[in-house]
Amino acid sequence: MGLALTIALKDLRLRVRDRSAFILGVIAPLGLALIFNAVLGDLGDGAFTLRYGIVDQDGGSVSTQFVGLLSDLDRQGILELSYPADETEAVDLVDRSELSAVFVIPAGFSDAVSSGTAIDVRVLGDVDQPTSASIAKAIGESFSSEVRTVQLSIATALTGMAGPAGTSVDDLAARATRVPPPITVGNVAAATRELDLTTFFVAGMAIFFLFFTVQFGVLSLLEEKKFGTMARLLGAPMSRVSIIAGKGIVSFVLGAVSMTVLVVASTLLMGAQWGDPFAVAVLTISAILAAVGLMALIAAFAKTAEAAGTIQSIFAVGLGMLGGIFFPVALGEGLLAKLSYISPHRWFMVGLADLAGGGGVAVVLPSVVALVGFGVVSSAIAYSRLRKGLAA
Amino acid sequence: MTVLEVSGLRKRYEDLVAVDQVGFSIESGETYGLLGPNGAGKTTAISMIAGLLERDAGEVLVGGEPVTTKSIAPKAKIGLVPQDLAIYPELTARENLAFFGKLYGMSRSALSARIDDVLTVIGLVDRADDRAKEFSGGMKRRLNIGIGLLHKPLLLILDEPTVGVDPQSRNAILESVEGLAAEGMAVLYTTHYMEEAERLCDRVGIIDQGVIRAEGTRRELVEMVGEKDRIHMTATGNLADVLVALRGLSGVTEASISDHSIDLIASEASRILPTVLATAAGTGAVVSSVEVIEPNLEAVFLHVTGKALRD
Repeated sequence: MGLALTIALKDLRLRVRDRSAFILGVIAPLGLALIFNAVLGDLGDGAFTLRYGIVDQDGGSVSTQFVGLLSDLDRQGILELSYPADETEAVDLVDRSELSAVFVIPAGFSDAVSSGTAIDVRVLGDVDQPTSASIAKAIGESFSSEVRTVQLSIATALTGMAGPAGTSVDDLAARATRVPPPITVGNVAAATRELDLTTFFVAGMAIFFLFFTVQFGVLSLLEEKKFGTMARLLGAPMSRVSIIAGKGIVSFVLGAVSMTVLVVASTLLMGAQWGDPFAVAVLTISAILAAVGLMALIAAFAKTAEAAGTIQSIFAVGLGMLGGIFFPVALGEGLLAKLSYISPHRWFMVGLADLAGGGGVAVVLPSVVALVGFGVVSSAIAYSRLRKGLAA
Repeated sequence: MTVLEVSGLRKRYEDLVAVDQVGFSIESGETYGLLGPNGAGKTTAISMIAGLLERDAGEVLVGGEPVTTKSIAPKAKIGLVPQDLAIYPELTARENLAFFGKLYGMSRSALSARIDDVLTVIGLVDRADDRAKEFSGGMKRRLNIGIGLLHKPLLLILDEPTVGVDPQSRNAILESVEGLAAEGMAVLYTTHYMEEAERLCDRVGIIDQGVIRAEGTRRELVEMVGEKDRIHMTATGNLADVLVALRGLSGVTEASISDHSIDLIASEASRILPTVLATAAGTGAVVSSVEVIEPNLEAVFLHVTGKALRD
């Protein structure tokens, strides 16, 4: 172990000298954190506000129900609701970006619902605020969908069986509209085991970048060969295990420094909520082990440092995409969602999401086991290959 | 005391036998040269001797202990100076020495003193704390050698240490090697420079196509050629025709072409020289220079392999 540390210290000194450790371990993650802060800072501060308007041209029982629902959300601070006098004023406010979107409930809406006629709430969104507009559209579609469900239920009741004595269509419709609000916009916080947006992006980039950072340690195995120093290492009185372990230690240290800088910086600068520090540390260490193992595996089968670096980068990006850090591939039950679990990135994000619901190490244990599994299996194969294949 | 014993060394790469039945020994204080052209199998042989490369057959004993790729303790008896520079450019000369010294288990106090000694031997005391990347080619070569010397090995293996070095640095390197042998170190020196082998080596093994063709002291090897001289001439024209014509001359025992020159091994070279020149001219070739060289290792190489050393 002493010789492995000697090799690791030499490599780290080289990385400090050529500034690559500083760039990889500090500048790059810190730069990423600052970029995220600039892009997502408002989200982290809670300054991201849904400013909606509603124009109720109907004034009936069903439209009143919808207006009441939005008013409740306004009172809860989830959105800011205003009431333009008419659609023209509403459109003007949206054009001037004073409102993100406007719901327009057309005249005759409640009657149409009662009579079973198809009718929708219209949503007019600001093109410059696509996220807010999309949320408004989703609320509108959800409400319309629920209304259709109510209509279908009533129609079924009337055609399939006799209605209760003394009930009219209007009565049934009125009852149906008194069911609990169909739309719920919850606070996506810890209790729901979901990461907030800031933490999600920062964590995603952290695990993504980790795979590039740890490359440098294991790649130096091939660089020693390229620069002729592998002959000296192999000729020295030590086992090949020490050489391989030394490189692994360098990768681990670079990964740990990078992740620590990013976690601390994102917490202080952006208010990212990583969760219980000890559990985050355990999860992060597991992720670093997985990254080191997988990158070492690629290095073990590559013939040159350049080839290894290229393949490692492709894998890092591919696993990141599959793991859902760029696109929500993990949503749903499809094949891609299942496949996402072959990516360490997915397990890391799952672990953090679990941690967001509260708790400590026990909560992240499944992810830790999976990540350590990645690390152990890939490291074992890489070690076996490298031990036999190390050559001057 | 026998420091290195090599026997039956063999290495095969698919259809190519790189080293075949190589065997020799080196005593303490002796410098043994492996002389052969590029691709002769020198580096493959010493890679197996130093425990860098798995061998297909054979045995290597250093200080009586077998050396394999898995050996640990016996490797501490070997100092290796690879042909390619094996130093870290971003580290200073002192840091390079310190790193490799630690790998050889040297204590901090012993290492510090030894580094100063080695820096003196390789003439880099004044540049000890400069990064190796700032050194000239010759200085890097000297540092490369210094690392091999650091732990006072029983056996120092130098693989073509003067390739690409300016004459001044080359001389400094050769003087260093002479000094080490004088102090009792066993030295295995590979080269394709006949002059270096003649100057440094107590015994020389002539290696070609992975096989040691001849071995002995310089005197023993030269005696193999007999009293014959070497005629080296450069010429233009159809040298193949010249070669055929010269081979037919009485007194010429070996003849070979390389580049624009022809080498002959001949008895009484001075006497037959006019005939040689006339024969060459008779084929239409124009001889631009001619030199009669008394027997040396290059003549021996030509004698035992049938080709010039630089081929």
